[in-house]
Amino acid sequence: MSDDHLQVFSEETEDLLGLAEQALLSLDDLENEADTLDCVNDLFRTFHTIKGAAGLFGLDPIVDFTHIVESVLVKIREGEFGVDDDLVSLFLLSRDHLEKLVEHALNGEESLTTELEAKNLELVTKLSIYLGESSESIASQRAGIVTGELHLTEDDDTLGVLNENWHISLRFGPSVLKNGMDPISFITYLSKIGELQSVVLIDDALPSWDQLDPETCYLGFEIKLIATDADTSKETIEDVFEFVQDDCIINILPPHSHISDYIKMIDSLPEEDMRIGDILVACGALTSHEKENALNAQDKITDDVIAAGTAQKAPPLGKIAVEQQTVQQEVVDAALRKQSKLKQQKANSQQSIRVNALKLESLVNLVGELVIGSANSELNARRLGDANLNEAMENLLRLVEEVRDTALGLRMVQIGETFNRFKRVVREVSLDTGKDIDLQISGAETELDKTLIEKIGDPLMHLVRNAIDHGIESPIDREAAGKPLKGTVKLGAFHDSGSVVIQITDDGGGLSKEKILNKALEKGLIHENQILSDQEIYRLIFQAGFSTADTVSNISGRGVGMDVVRKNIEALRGHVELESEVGVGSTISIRLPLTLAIIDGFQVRVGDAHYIIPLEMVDECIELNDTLRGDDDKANYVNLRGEILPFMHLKDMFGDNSLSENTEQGDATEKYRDNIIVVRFAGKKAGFMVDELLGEHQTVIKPLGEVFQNLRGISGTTILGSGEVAMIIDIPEMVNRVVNSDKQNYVPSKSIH
Amino acid sequence: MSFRVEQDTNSPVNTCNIVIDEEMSIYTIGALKRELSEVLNIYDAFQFDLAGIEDFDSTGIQLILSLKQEIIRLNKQFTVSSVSEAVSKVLTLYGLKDNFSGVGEGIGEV
Repeated sequence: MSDDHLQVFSEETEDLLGLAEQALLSLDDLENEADTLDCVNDLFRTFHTIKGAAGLFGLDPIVDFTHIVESVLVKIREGEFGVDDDLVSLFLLSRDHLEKLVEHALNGEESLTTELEAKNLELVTKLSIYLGESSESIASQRAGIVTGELHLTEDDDTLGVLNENWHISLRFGPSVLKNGMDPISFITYLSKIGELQSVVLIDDALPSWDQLDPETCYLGFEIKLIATDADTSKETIEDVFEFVQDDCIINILPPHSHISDYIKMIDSLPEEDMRIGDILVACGALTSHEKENALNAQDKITDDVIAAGTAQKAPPLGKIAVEQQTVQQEVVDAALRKQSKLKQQKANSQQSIRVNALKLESLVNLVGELVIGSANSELNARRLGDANLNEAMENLLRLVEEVRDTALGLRMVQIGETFNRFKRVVREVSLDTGKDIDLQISGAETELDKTLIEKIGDPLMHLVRNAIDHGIESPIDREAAGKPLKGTVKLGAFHDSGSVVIQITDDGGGLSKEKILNKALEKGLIHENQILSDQEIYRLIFQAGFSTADTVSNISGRGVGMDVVRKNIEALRGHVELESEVGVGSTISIRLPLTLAIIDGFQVRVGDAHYIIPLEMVDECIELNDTLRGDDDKANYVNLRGEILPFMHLKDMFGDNSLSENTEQGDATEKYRDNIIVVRFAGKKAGFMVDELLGEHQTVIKPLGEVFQNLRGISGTTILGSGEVAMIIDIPEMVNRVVNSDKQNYVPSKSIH
Repeated sequence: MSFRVEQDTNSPVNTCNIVIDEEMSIYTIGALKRELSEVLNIYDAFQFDLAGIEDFDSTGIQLILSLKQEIIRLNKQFTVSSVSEAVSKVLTLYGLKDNFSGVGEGIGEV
């Protein structure tokens, strides 16, 4: 099988396993029996599909393992036992194992590693407990599977025939005998697989004596077989006919096959339908009632086909079934709903195409270059001052902007899928810790750059685990505190001024500031008489080697988590913040930029250098003229409509030698028409004083080289239309710097109204 | 293959005993059919003795079945007097034993 096919298999299986996990997790919450059954059916289908696909590729370990899982599901479906937590956990483990098996198989390795083998055995043993003694019924389920022909109907059981045996229908091709093969040997061989309950020879094709070519084969058989080994698969039986399958009509129906399968089979046979019906009854494949049903149904199909004038388009099975009155309308309705749901899903998946991430990346890169190139063109066009050219340029720029947005939009995915993964985590951790936890998800449709989503998974995992392990109290403590026994963890996402905020909220005990301070003192992170704001205290827990948990559990508490979390998030140009109230709970907010590649920037000039400020963070621009300027040149805050706005001279921050000469030449006033750009980040405002406002600029972010990794206040660079390099100001870092700068040194300017 | 046709002088109708020995398989079936075709019109009743057949395959079955059909079609009598073990085996496997019942005890005996 080619790699391409395997790739498709791998992707499909990945999706299916995802579905399985969701179904399993929702199984947990379902009270209502009908829903549970639906869910079990979903699961069954999912595993069934994986098994079918794996069967096509001859991935036996996967087929075998899935089969067992499926068998247990069948038992549940048949109502032999209910679903409990243990079973769900076991299924989840099985799902994981399956994932590993698939991965293993995709690596092209034939045999299992001892580790996998052991895990396999362990799970199979556990699953077998549920299977109990009656392995026959499982075997019967197995058969339909291996061929890769999947039944999606819900009503297998309703429509299965009474026949408990395999039915094999053979019509040998004319050249079989000439090719040195004899039906006798095949049937004799079949008798080794099981007991031949009945063999009916079909000689209808036998011509009259004159026409008879004695060396041509005219024979057919309808065989009822009781398999000796309950595990006999359809494949085993198919293999018997391997050498003749090309020119023979072979139908193999497992025990309790769908009546539709019989209809299909009857259709495929050359003899007259009634005759076949009789034969099937004769050899015990169908009861006469079933035969009537099948034949009537089939007549109906034929009639319908003729009536509709369409060729060979059978009506849906459900229709036949209802007309036969073998199943109730509602059962069929349910089945049809299910099917249409599945179709819907399929339709949805067909609306999207899978694209190699690298291709997408190179597209985004190209768009980046396009943006830079168009900025260059714009600059030149403006210099020429040709009205027509400028107009064309405007148009072009608008299009480039749209292309940019669309290209970036391609990488945007909803965060919901990532959130859903945490249902599993919450479930497991709450089982481990014995805490009952409810996970509430909001804003699942919030879109985020795919690369960001991939990278945010691990830090989020840490935080969620932390929230459960450290945050939520034990049920006893909760009861004592008068809280509901069930703890709540909320995962939410929303957009906020150009960034995406992901929040993890728990209604647990909150963080004790005292505890943090003590711990920080103990670890030597702070001095004894240092006065810290609440935020600063909370920020301490993001320091390396910090853990407030009294006991270290296997989930969290080793103190390696939070600082790694912070580093990971900062590596994404994001920020993490914590709010907490003792006894009420904590909220951790992660702020991430919408995208990593291209942003709308605001271009400013300080001295000869150009800087870019992300536009989403710019609140307003103020001209700081003489009427506002304080008496003190060193003023670093203004009264902005009654608010204190700390500001900073970017020139002081980044230094600027080139202009000092100009200043001395007294040309200063014109060059230094001070402007303050007011920026806002995470609820805090700060101003930056710049020399000139140059306006909006589409900014393609180019990462800084390794040498500059530790440079503070700069988050990247970009290339301007003129070819110059401009620095992108790291606003979060700068805002903090301005806001937290030594408050003692505040020098007021005049107020702005 | 050996193939003998003996007229049964005891019978009131124009009967023949057809004895087929050794082999009734794909290797000889063509020749056998030709020989049988020649005698079909001569007699009115046919009694087959298959007790000497050691090699019997699906072509044999087909031939016998077709032969039976033809003889009945011609309103003549068709009987199998006895069969060998090899033939019996195939008849049993194909569930055809009953088709040749009333023909003789031979089937049961072997």
